[in-house]
Amino acid sequence: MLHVVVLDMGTANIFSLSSALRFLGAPFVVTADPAEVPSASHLILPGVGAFDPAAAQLRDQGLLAPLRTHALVACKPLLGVCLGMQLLFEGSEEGEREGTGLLTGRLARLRADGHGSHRVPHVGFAAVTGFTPTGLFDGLEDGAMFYFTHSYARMEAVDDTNMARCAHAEPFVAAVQRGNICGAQFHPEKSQANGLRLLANFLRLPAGVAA
Amino acid sequence: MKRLIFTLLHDRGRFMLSRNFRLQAVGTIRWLFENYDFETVSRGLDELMVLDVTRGDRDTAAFASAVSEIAQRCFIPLTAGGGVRSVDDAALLLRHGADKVLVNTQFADAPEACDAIAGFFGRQCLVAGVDYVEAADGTRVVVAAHGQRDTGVPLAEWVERVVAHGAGEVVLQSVARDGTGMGLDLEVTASLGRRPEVPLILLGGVGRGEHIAAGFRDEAVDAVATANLFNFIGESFVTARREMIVQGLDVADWHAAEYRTLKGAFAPADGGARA
Amino acid sequence: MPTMTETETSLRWCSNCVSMSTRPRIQYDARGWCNACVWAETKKTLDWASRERELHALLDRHRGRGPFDCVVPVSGGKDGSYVAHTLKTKYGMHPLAITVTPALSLPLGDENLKAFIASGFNHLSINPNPDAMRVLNRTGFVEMGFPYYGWLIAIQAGVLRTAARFGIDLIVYGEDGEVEYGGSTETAKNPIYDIDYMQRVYLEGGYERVLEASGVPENDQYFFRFPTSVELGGRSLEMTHWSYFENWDPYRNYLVAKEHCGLREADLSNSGTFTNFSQNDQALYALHTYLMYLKFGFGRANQDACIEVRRGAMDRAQAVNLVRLYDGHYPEEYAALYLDYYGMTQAEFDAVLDRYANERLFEKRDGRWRPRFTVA
Repeated sequence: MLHVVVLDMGTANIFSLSSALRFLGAPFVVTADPAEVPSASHLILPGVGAFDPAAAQLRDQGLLAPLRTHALVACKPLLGVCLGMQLLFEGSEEGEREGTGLLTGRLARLRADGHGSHRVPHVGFAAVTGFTPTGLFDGLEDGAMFYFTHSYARMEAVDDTNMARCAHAEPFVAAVQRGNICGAQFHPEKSQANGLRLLANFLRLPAGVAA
Repeated sequence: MKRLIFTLLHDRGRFMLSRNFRLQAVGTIRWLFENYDFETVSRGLDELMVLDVTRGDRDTAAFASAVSEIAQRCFIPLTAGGGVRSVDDAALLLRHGADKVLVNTQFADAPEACDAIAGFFGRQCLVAGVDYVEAADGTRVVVAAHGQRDTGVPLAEWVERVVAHGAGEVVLQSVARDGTGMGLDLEVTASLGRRPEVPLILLGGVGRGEHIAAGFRDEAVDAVATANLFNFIGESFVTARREMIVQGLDVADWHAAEYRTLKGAFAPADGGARA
Repeated sequence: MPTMTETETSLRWCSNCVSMSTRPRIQYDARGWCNACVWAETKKTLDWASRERELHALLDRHRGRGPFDCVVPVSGGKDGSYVAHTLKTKYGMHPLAITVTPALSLPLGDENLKAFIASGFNHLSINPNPDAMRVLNRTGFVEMGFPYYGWLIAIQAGVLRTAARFGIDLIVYGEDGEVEYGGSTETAKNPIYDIDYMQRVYLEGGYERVLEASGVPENDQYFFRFPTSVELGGRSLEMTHWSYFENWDPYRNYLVAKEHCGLREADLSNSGTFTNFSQNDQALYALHTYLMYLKFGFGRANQDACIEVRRGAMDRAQAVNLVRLYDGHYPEEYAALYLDYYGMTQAEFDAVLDRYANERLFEKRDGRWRPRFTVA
């Protein structure tokens, strides 16, 4: 039974993600209560802002353990969006704290190159490429546009994943799927029908596909 | 990627057309949704901007409510502004579905408040609205407070100031061209001298698709906005966009059909979200 | 010059703007462009310098002759204000601005007129006996479908008569509607016209008939009659249109009037259209354009949309959208005012409208005339 839990840590703009889920007709709740996590068939971790405060909040609100259980023990689908994707990793150049470590590796700051389109933060629609159009990326065209707004990203490839790249001054990981663990650096709720499609794909991932 | 931003001007429950900063009431939000099917219209746009242009006492609640009604129909970035003076003002709009806030007069009155907004939400969340007129000698000078106040400051200097106080993007609005349908001020970016490090959005004068395309052809222009509420009713944005893609301009290509197949795709047999 | 073909009998619209084949004297060229659009095109490469020389010659002949050397009919709206302002500031003339007060004047119109005068003009306001005006307006409405026919006569006859009285021989009107909007091109090449042309084309030749049948006492007909040869005393009045000498641009006029003559716009769109900056002086204008719609299938929105297309502010597809949305609005907001003015019941009023509705174009459903056609 589809039951989406969206973790509200107070930083993200939940409104649009909620609008998107409502548009898709998916039953969902928005909560900051760790006790509600186990009932989720699908878990979404949004996030906007700086790494350290968000990482701290995950721990302080007791969300870390239920999150790891959902992803690693129950192997249910998890989607980190924007800062939420960054939190899936081990850490970031942006801060001191540790992420969840569900994906190996760290994030780095995007490089600006002084030219018009390569400023930091990277804000705007950009083409996403290099993925296999299955699972999270089912039905998406190579080069599909998504909306980004971030200053940090995962620059190196992530092992054993279906990975989508985007090029800024240099390529970075735009989105990733390793089994049930998914991340989108862009905002699917702001990316027109492409974003809705990606969310729909996420909601179609079956529970229990181990990482 | 160049962006096309549809701008809606709100005044106490009505949406307005502006001509050289004089307002004409066009219709309520019902008129808006009847003439702009946002699901369809979104395919022609990259972003939305909703501004509260009330001259008198603002109805902030009505405005925030209008912002959410619009935001929940579109899955593209939305900037909201008008009377934003503080972090709290910004937070209200962000809670109602805005992704960014636009600040105009406060950059004149209390730039430190703008620093605070950028500091709290991130610079990418703060858009500076800059309105300018042309003086007798042709220089562009900034005006504030719905164009009522002449700051006396040249445009280039003002742009540097707003960037220094946290603006992540700048909207350059020509009062002279506003609502005239005579095309954008295509010389404004050159007049700035040094290219600012943040994206530039041109607003004022768009009447038809060709005006948008002309703006996009300027290398220094990152986005074109239009608040022309009459001229793009129906499919006009979508048609204009197709034309620009055919011309080889650097705009995103949005496909249509997907929205319909996705709508309600996960609705359970018993009816709806339990949010 | 593109070849002009005969107007076709089936309904069609200009392929550039949205002007309709039902418009009297309209013609389309091989591309399907109406004569107004062809004219707009021609205007881009017209030798305006030469036209301006003609203007100088004309004005030089009149300048300084007496305290006022020309008459500009104004309403406080954008067009007359633009002409008066330009004659005064650019060409050093001494215009006497004249208004014939319309029936059912609107508050915004009154304010705009005051603002225009306050911007620095000598001005006369002519107020024919309102009873006479009403009789003539009503007769025009019923007999010809021209709801302000009396006023139309007075802004020509009454203005000329007053000009003659003041010894002013030059009257400068704004636009030549026939040329600018698609009609006869008699005056396209010849700037000065006479009383006969006025009666024939602008008053549609019904002028004498209406006056005679009106029963208005002779003294009260003064401002509705053209000057007598005795009053003219052997002089001949020269009437002209500004649009002959300078590229006529209603939007430019609006911008100048706004900047220099205190013109203000309405808060809402005007009745039957999407603009708010034009024709704000009298309530009967909405009825006039509604009757035009019933007779010919195009109204105020269509007119305004055509102007927008020709000045490059919107394209045809956008114009079609707006015409479909706004054209042909029954002026409900003024209905009570009209009934009271004409002394008619709603049924009588609607019966007059019914006489003018072209049943080839419209059918009556639920008490209103609905178009059988769609603008395409």
